[in-house]
Amino acid sequence: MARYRLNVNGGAREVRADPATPLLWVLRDGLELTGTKYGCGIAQCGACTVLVDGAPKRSCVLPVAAVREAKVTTIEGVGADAVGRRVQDAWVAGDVPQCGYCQSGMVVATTALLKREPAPSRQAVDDALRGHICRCGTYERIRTAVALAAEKRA
Amino acid sequence: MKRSRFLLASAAAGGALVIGPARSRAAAAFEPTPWVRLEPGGGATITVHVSELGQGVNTGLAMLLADELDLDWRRVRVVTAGADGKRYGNQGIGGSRTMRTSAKKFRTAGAATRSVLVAAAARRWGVEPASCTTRDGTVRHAASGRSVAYAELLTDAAQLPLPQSPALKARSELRIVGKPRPLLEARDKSSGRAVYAMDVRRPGMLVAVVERAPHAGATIAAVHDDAARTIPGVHGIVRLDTNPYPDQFVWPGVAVLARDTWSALAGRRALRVNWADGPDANADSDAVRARLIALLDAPAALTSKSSKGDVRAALADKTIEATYESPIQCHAQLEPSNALADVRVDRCEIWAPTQSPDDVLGAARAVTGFPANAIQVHQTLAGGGFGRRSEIDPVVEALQLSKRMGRPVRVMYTREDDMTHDFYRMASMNRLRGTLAADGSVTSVAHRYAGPTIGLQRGYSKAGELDDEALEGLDRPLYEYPAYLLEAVQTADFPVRIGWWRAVSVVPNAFAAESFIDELAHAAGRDPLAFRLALLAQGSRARGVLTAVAERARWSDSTAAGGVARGISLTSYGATPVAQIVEARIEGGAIRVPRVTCAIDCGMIVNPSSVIAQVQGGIAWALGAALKHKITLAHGRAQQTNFATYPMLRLHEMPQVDVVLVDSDADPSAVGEASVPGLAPALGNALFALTGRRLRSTPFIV
Repeated sequence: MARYRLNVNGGAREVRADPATPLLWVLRDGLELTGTKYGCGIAQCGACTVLVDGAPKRSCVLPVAAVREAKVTTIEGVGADAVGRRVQDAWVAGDVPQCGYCQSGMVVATTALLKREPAPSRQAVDDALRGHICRCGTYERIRTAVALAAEKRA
Repeated sequence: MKRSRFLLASAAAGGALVIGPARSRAAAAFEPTPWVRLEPGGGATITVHVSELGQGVNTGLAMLLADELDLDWRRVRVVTAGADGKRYGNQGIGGSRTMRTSAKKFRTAGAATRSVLVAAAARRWGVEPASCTTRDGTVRHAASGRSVAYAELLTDAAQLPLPQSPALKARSELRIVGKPRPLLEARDKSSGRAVYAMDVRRPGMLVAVVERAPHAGATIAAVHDDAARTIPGVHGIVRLDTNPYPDQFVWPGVAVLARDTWSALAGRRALRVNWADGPDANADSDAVRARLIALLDAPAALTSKSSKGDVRAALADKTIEATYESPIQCHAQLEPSNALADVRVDRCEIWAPTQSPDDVLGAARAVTGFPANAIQVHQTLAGGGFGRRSEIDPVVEALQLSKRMGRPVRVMYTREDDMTHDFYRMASMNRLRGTLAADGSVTSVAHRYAGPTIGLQRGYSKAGELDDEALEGLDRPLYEYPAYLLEAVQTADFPVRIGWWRAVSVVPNAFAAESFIDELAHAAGRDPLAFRLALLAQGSRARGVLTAVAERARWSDSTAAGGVARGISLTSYGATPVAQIVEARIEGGAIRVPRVTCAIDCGMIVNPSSVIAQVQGGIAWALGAALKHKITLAHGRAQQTNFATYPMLRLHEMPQVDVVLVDSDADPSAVGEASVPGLAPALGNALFALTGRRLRSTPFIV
C-alpha cells in the first residue's frame, strides 16, 4: 500500500492503493468516478479511456504508480473543456449512444483527437477510434458525430 | 382501491387537501395508472416497467404515452419500475417484444388520462368535453378562449372514472410519435453520469469475484485459500456449491470477497481450487461437430406442422442439396455480468442489469425467505443485453454472498469470466434439399435442423416433442413453396450451457434458408431477386420490403463492377420482415463490406431514430458474427477468453448502412433483433456472386 496524490479533473486527490493497481480501479473504487468503464482489462476495448496529460490512455492497464504528477482527465471532467463539451453535444444531437457503456471512452478519445486535429480525416478518425469497441454497433453515428463536433469548432 | 385514489384519499385524510377555489386545490400528484403520474408542479413522470438496455424503450414508450396525453415533452421524466408483476404484469424482455406488447398499454394510459383531464376542465367550464382540445399539458376551449394547465386539474380529474377503452389518436393526429428523438439518456451516457449496476455503491460494500467451475458439471474437490486470505483487502472466501434457485443454472464456485475490485482480483489470483471433472470434461469442438453431423443423419426426426404437400412426390428435373453450419457464439455485451445485493435482517435490495426482474425477485425470495414486499429490485441501465441478461446467475451469487457476509456485495464477472461462463448461442446444422422443374421453378424444399435446444437443455420442452423455439425463422416460411418439409432432430445434450442471443435460432436458420434459395436461383439460372419474388404472395409485407430494398439499392443495375458484388436476403423476425442487399469485395484476402441496404417493415414506427439505430446495430452485430465469431471448446471450456481472441467488429470495418423504413399501418413489431438474421446469407450470396464459391459455414473464410 502506498499513498498517491493524483491530479484528477483539475483537483488534487489523495488515494491509498497498491502500486500495481490500475488507474481504472483507483478512479472507480477509490475516487468514485464511475463514468470510466471496465470492459476487458487488457486494453482491447477502450471503455476505460482517460486523458493523461491530454493523451488517451487505457486506464485498465496503467498502474497508479506510473501516473505521478500527470494531469488525468476522465469523462466527468472532459465537459469542462470547450472541445469536450462540443463532442458531448454532438453525441446527443446525433443520438449516438445505445447502451452507452462504451461511450465514455469514445467521447474522451474523440476529444483528444479534435484537440490534436481539429478537422480530422476519415483515416485519422479510424486510427483514433479503432481501439474502441461498441457492441451495440453505433459506429456510423459515432462517425457522423465526430464530423459534427469538428464542424462546429469556433 | 386504485393506487391513484389512495394517494388522494390519504392526502384528504391527512388534511392536506384544501377545499377552496380551483387554483389552490392541487396538492397531490395524480397517478391514474401505473404508467404515468402528473406532478402538481406541472411535470409528468412516466414509469417504464422493463429495463433500458440501449434498445430505446424508455424513450419509445414515453413518446407513445406523452403523445396520447398531449404532454409537453420537455417536462417528461422517465423512471424504470422495480420488479412488481402484480402492478406491471410481465416485465421480462426478449424477442424484441416490448413495443409489440406494450405500445397499446402506454397509448391507452395516455388517452385515458387525457380524457379525465378534459372532462374535469369541461365540467369546470360547463362546456362539452368534445369542444375542448389539448396541447403541451394544457386543456383549451377555443370557443371561449379559456385554457387550464393539467396541473390545475389533478384533484378534480382524480374524482372521475378512468375510461377503460378510450379512443386513441389517428396516425395523422400523432405529434410526438413518428418523429426522430434522441434517447432520453443520451446526455447522461455521453458525460459519464449514466448509472449502470456496476456503478452503484453501498456503504460497507464488498466486491466479489468468483472462481467458477471450468466446465458445466464440474464440482469443487478442494479449496486452497491460505495465500488468498493473506492478500490485503480480502475479507473472506466463500464456497458457493449449492443452488438455492434451481430455475437459474449457476456454476459451483469459490468467491473471493474484498473491499475493492483490485484486491478481489488479486485474491482470486492467489486462490487454488481443485475441480472434480463432470461428464463433459473432455468435450471439444470436434466432438460437438461430429455429434451434430450424426444428428443430421439420424432417422428419428420430428416433423413440423408447417410442412405441406409431399416433397418426395415433387417433380425433380434438378435436385440440389446443401448443409449449412453455425458455430457456438458468445454475447460479449460490453458491461460484463454483475449484480449488487444488499441483504439485511428483514429486507433486501438488488441492483442488476436484467431482462428478467421477476426471476431476480424469485431468487431473492428463495435465498432470503422474505415476502415480495420486503424485496426491492432495481432494474438499472444495462450495458447491453442481447439475451445475456435473461440469465440471473450473478444475482443468485450476490444474494447468497450478501446474506452470508451481512454486507452489501457486488459480484463482478471479469471479461474472461463472462466469455467462459456464458449461456452461448448454440451450434447447429441445417441440411436442405430442393427440387426444380424443367422450367426452373421450385417444386419442393425439405429442411432438416439438427442441434440442441434451450428448452430441452433446461427441461421446459419435452423430449420426443418438437421444440418450435429452435425452428424460428423456418416454421412460417416466407415463400409459397409447392411442397415444404421441415424436420428436426433436437437434443438436450450439449456440453456448454446455451441461451438466448440476439435473434437466437433465426440467425443460423435464416442463414441456411436464405443461402439455399440463392443456390436454387443460381441452379435455375434466375436472378435471385426475381426468383424470390415469384414465390411471394402479392401484397405481402415481405414482398414489400424486398421490393423496397431492391429499388433503393438499384438491384436491377447489378453488375459485379470494380470487384464489388452484391447479395440479397429476405428474412422475418416475429412479424417484422427485413430485406437486405449487401455489397462485398475481397481486399488482401479479407472480406470487406462497404455498404448494406436494409428495408424493414416494423409496423407503426414510434421513434425512427431508434429504429434506424437498432437496424444499424443489428447489422454490426451480425457482420461481426459472420466474419469473426466462433467459440471453440477444449476440455469442456471455451478457448476464447477476451477480445484478443474473440475480436469484435470495429469502426473501420463498419459498412455504410442505408435503412429504408417501410411505412405500414400494422401494430408495432420487433426491431432490435430483426436486422440480424439476413446479413450473413446476403453476404454469403454476395461472396458467391464475387468468387463463385459457396460459403456454407460461419464465420466466413475466403
